[in-house]
Amino acid sequence: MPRLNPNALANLEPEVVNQIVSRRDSLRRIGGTLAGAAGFSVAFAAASREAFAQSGGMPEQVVEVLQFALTLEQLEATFYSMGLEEEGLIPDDVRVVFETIGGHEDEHVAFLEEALGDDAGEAPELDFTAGGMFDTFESYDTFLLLAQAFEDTGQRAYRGQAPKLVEAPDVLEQALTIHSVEARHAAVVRSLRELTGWIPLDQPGVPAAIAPVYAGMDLTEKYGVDLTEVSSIEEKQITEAFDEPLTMEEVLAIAGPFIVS
Amino acid sequence: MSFHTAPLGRRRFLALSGASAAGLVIAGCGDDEEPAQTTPAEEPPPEPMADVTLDFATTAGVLNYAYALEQLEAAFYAQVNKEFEANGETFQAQLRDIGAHEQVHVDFLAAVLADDAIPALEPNFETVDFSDRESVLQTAFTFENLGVGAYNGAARFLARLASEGDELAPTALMAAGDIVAVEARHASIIGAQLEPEQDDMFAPNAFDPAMPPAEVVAAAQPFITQRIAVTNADPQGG
Repeated sequence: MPRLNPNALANLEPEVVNQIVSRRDSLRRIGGTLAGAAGFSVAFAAASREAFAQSGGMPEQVVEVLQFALTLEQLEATFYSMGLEEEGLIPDDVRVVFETIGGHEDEHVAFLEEALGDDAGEAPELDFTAGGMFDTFESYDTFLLLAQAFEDTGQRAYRGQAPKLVEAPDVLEQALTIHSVEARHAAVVRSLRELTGWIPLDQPGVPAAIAPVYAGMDLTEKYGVDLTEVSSIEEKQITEAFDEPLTMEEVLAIAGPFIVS
Repeated sequence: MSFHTAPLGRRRFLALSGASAAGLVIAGCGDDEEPAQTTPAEEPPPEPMADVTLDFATTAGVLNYAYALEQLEAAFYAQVNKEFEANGETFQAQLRDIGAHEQVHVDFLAAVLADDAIPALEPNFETVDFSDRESVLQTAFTFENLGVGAYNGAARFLARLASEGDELAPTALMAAGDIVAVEARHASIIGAQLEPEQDDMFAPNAFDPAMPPAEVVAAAQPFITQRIAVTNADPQGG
């Protein structure tokens, strides 16, 4: 779990701060060598849309995938922005985690809107209590649980759509660069709930309405390989080592209760 | 590598791998492109000869690329889990989990590749201080992010192969997708540990990199004894 102290740099000598900051920048570069800046991706989205326009428009299947992704990102972005606005909900020492994640979701929304252009749908009307089932913005525990559910679902959702983008490799690549960021978000949110960053066999404290988020993640046979046979690693860690996809229908069933229109 | 040691390198490769399995070609035949040289013209640096060349025009080549990186990661965590004492049982357990996941990835890829697999790689971790938290975590963070960038960047090669009708490529693409998410989860947990006074190292950017194979291999090469080369690895190439 990250120990977060935004004022840690305040009491240090300037040259020490410089060293830390420059090291941080170099670490950041490792994390984001190429597609680091959001501007790059948004510009890319526009270029990608233009390229498709010249060849008679974006294939319907690609539009469908991007619109699906946009809906999920709008849901996530709205969730974090509402959570951050709710006074006293998010503890000060982890606020910055959700500001970071929320900021990323905003960038994903901007990217997808740019890629879709006129095809981009309106933001859906949302109800994060799912009709009163969750006290989402009244309880930090509930907020965290839903953050985990949305991130784990988001990651599995992108993964599920990837095969549909094979004929549009640039879009596929961009979707994957979002997919792995959703996985990073999921891991850190899980760690705030004192869970492992990866998904184990059991999901303690997950109510029935959230359980479908983790359906079908207990496989020990992958693509015809029985991993219990070829690996001496224990079953729990075998199932953790792969994250399986969710179909669009499965994702919409999970997200449905939170979407009013 | 000097002229008269070249045949030894070649012999060593042949001994390691058998023959030219699919996805592998024997390098050192003169058509490898080297980066632009900046040293004086009168003394050109010797051309390093590759022990293993990964061919991105084949699914086996792309999978061997993954296999090489996973071998590197698995070997790294095996040594971490032998020699490094983490601060706290939770993080120690996480490092054991991560190491186990990398080994599962190795075992999976070895099973998928079967006779097409590249030989076992010999890691070189002499620059890593396994008793030092900073050194271990920075190396781990580098490897995990490299893994994420590598898988993300490899997808377009598998997509191209799939479009061309290659039967294995769609499955390889899906497996890579299942694995990269777990690498990203690792990167997040390591990133959060790495610099606790910083807040966003778990996900430094809204978009992860999709790295070209040549860049990934250049970054990984210092940690691998064998020389790795890539071919047909231009992301924009046809």
